[in-house]
Amino acid sequence: MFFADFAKNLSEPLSRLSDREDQSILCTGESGAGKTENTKKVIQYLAYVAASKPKGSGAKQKYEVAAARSPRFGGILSSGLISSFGRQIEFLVAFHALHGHGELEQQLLQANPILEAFGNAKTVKNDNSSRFGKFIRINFDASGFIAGANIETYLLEKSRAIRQAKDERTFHIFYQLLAGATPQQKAEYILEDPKSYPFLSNALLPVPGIDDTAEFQATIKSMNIMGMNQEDFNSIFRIVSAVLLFGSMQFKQERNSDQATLPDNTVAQKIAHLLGLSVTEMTKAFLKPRIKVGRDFVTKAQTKEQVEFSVEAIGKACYERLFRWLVNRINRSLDRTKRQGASFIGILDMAGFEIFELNSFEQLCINYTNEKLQQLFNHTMFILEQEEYQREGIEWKFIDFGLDLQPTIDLIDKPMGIMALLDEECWFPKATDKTFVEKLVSAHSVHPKFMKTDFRGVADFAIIHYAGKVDYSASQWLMKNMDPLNENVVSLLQSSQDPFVCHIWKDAEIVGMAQQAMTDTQFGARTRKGMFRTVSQLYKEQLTKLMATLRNTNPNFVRCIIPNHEKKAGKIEAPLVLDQLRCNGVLEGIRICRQGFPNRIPFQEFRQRYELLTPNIIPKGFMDGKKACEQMIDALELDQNLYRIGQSKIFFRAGVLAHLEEERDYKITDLIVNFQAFCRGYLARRNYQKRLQQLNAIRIIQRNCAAYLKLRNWQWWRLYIKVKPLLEVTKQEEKLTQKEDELRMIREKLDSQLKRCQEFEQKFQQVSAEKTQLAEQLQAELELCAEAEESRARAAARKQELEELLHDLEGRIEEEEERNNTLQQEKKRLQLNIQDLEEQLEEEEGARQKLQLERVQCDAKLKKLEEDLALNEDTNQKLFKEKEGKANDLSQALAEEEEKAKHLSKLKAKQESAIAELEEKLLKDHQLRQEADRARRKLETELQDVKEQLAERKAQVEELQIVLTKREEELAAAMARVDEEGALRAAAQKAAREAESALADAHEDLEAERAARTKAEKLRRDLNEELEALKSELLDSLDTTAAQQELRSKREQEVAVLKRNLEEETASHESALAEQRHKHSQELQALNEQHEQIKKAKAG
Amino acid sequence: MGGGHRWFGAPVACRIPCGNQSGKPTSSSGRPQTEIIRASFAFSIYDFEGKGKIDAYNLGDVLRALNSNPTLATIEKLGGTKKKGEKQLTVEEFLPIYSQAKKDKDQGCYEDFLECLKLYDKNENGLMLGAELTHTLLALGEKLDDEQVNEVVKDCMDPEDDDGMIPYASFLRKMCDGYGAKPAEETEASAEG
Repeated sequence: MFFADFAKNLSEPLSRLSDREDQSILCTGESGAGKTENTKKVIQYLAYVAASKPKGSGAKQKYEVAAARSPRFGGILSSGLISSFGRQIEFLVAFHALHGHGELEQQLLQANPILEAFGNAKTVKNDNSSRFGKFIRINFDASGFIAGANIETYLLEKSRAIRQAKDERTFHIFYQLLAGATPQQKAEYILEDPKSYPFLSNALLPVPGIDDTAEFQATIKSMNIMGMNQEDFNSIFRIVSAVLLFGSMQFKQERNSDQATLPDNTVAQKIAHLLGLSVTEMTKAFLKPRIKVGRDFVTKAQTKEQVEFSVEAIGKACYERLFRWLVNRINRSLDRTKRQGASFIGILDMAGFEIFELNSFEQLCINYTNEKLQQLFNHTMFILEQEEYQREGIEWKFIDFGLDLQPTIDLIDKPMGIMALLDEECWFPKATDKTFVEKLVSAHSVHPKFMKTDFRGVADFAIIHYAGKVDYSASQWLMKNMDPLNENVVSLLQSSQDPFVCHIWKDAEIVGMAQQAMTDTQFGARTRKGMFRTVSQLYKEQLTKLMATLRNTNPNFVRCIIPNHEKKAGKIEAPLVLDQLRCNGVLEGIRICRQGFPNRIPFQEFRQRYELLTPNIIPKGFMDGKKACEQMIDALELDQNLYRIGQSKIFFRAGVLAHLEEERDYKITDLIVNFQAFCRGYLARRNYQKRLQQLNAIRIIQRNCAAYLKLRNWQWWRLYIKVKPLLEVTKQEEKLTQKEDELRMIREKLDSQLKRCQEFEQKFQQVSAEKTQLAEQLQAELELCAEAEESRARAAARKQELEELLHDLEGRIEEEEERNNTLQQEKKRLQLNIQDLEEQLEEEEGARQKLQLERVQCDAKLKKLEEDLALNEDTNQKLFKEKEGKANDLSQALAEEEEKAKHLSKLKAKQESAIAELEEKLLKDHQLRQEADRARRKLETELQDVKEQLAERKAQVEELQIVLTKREEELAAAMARVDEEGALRAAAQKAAREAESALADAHEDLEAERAARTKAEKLRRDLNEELEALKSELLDSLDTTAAQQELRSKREQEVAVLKRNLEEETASHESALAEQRHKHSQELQALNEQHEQIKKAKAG
Repeated sequence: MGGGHRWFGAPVACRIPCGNQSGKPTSSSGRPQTEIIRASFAFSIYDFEGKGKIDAYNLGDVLRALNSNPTLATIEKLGGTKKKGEKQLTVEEFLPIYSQAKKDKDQGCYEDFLECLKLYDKNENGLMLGAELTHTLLALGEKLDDEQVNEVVKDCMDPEDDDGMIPYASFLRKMCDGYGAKPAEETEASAEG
């Protein structure tokens, strides 16, 4: 059922081919949606219905599809569903009397298994995922048969050949070869244990449902059908094996140099054997490639990474070239007839839109392609459709579906777009992926479809595609775009002993030659400048060509939709499907189909096709197509809303035409059945007539028998029977019989004569026919002869002319020869000149080489200088940072200093207040002293008096001495009083001590002050040192520091003054105290003396 | 005696279709009575064993002999079988079937078929591929078998030209008219005369 519906969809483009309009079928959809499968079905179908004439069969049979117009597109779910809106009815008159496919069709069908084996692989999403895009172009000749085909491939994911993600496999052929090769083949192709290949990241990862051995046989079979021979197989599988082995080469890094080494070259030997190279040459080319600098070759040391990179690149390139060769080989088989196709159907099977977590350059290419295809879809579906309505003068309101993808496409491929920038970056020697991203961001940061990603993510930028936002990581883009190859190895491969290897690398030569003039980069790989084109350029060009082809065709879209991500049949995840439908514009497509008139037919065709449904409506004779159609529509009694009549076509709403087609189908079937019934009737009646005649014959026999039976017993009859032989009559009878015999003989003779006559006549006719033929021939010959005569005459005339011309020419030749001679002389002169010039040139060349050499050196120097510069810049930056740090520190220190100063000033104020206090105290002391002086003076005067009195009293004492002794007891009593006096003295002493302690306090304060000062001084000294160090760099801070210093010195002076004051004061205090003490003791003594005097007096 | 002798042959032959007397009045079709006679006669032709019954397998042929052109579907609907020996029909059973078949007017005619075949006339010159015509008969609708097609083609189709094309109108003409109503009656009439 699926195929039938599919076929109906397909017959559309096929039928349109008859209008000499090229068709294309575009299969699009997500990975695993079934694009490739659908493509295969399309090809099967086409090979089936449009096979070329079977060879050898004289009957000219044409298998043709009488197809109706159908809605423009039908969505096909990969699960086998035909989406309902795409419903259509096709009256398919496919002739089933195919006597097997022709060779070409077989090959066309077998191209796919080969391409799949080499270009498909298992991915996470899809067990048989196409890792390349293809455009299959099937050419048809003027009578609608397949005349040839051509396959073009796009973007093989060659990196898969050397590395695969988890749970993924490399291309099928590797596994097929490893599993399916016979021991003999294994030995021949040097196949090893699958687990030993580093290029098979996941070793032998079996895929359920795929038997690699069986697949291998199938592939071989297909290749046989394609016309490949054992030699081809050998060549192909040798390269496949070599690609695998490339990964097994183990390189080591030499410890003390940049040179990598290959300690074990057994693998290299194998590879060299397979590719027909010399081992030493090959390893040398990998390890120490020779590079042309100017005119000299220089060998260059390669590091391990560089070597590994170039080996991988060569491996990938080998595989890619093998694939390309295969495609070419297939094309050669498919197109060997060289029949020029009158028209073609192109089938495009492109990798679907890809959104991974991180997307790279390949994804950009693929998504860019899809973007373009989608744009084409939108254009045809929405723009062209509506334009056609307008052109046909149908009342229609233009709907803008807002699905213009041009901004995104422009972002990628316009000048200054992503690809252009990428190419540009590839030209700069210093460019990296980083600089590329920076340029990109600066150029497109405002583009509505371009997004910068935040720095946290791994992605570098994002593009908003029609299917959603895609994050791209720009790592390796430059490398991928340049795709550098080790030139030495390439030239080795080009001169390989294996002609096949030479062949597949042949076209790399152009690049290589262009490369010769180039100097190398630090990679030792080829820089691709000048003539060389980058991957993106090549791809863009290819794509542009494809789009141009597609635009010139009538595109038919097959939208493949993946029903679920689990590779399960029959399960449909509605949101997933809806999402896809929304993304690819199918929903809008349905909308415009619903609102618009998706089906249209030119009037003439409509009439021809559906007149059957309205018999006798259109009068005989000529009638204008439009009018006829209007009448037919009237007769069909269609709703006014279901159709529109344009200028040259009639338009129908979705489904109407399908309905008409159904009716027509029904009607035709009915007619054919009746037609057959008539045939049967004819046969039956013929049979009936025969039976009737037979019956009549039987009746006659019966009647005669009956008559005989009746007569048998009649006497007269019996008598007659008996008598009859006796009668003379019998003689007569005999005579009669004799005569009759004679007659018969004569008749026979006559018959034979007649026959012969007829024969002769026939012969005569034949001969006469021959004669006429001969006469005709003669006539023709005569005509030919006449013609020949004529042409001869003409030739003669021409000859005459030519001879004349020859004469002229001879004359001219002579002239020319003369001129030639002169020219020769001139030439000689010029040659001399040239020689001179050449010498000059050589000199120039030498100079140039020298210059080039110098340039290289300069480059190196420049590089070094640049590195130095970078280093200097680095240190500069570091210093700057340091300086800033220092300045910060300094200002901080300054602040601290200021704070300290403040603190100190505070302290000073405090100190001053203390000093003031002390001064006050001093003043008081002064007063006290003055008082004490006064008291002393008074006391002195008193003392004088007392002395006088004393002298008086001495006498009295002496007088009293006696009294004293008498008064001893009284003395004792007086002693007690002395004791009391002592107590008093003690109290006075205490007061003195207190004063002393106060003094000590003052001392201590002074001491603290002094310590603080020394500390400050020390700090100051430190700071001074620091300041001295910074002074040179910090001129501006110098002033303040100086001021500070001044301030400080001032303060220090102040402090010194204060100290001096303090010292003076303390000294004075001490002296005062000592005096006071002294006075005190004197007073005490005086008092004691007074006391004794008093005692004496008492005693006296 | 000689006359008697002659009487033996030709005159008898001349009278042979007397069994066909029932056929004589058919020329004036439309009268039920004669229709019945005609139908009974045709029935009797297919009554191979003379038991007054025909095999239902032959129903279609009887109807066709009577100038109907029933489709296989119609025949089955009317009670015909696809295999021999499954079912027998008597005249009494047959007559109503016949009148029913007569009533079925949805048979198409020469003009209809002409329109149909015009679809294959790509160049609109009255020609179509002979192979296409035979294919139509062999592969579509109620398919004919090879033998049937061969016979029809042998009788009615003009030889193909160099491009394999045939004039389909004359084919249709011959096919629709040959052994059809009129010529059959004419033969009968001439036989009668």
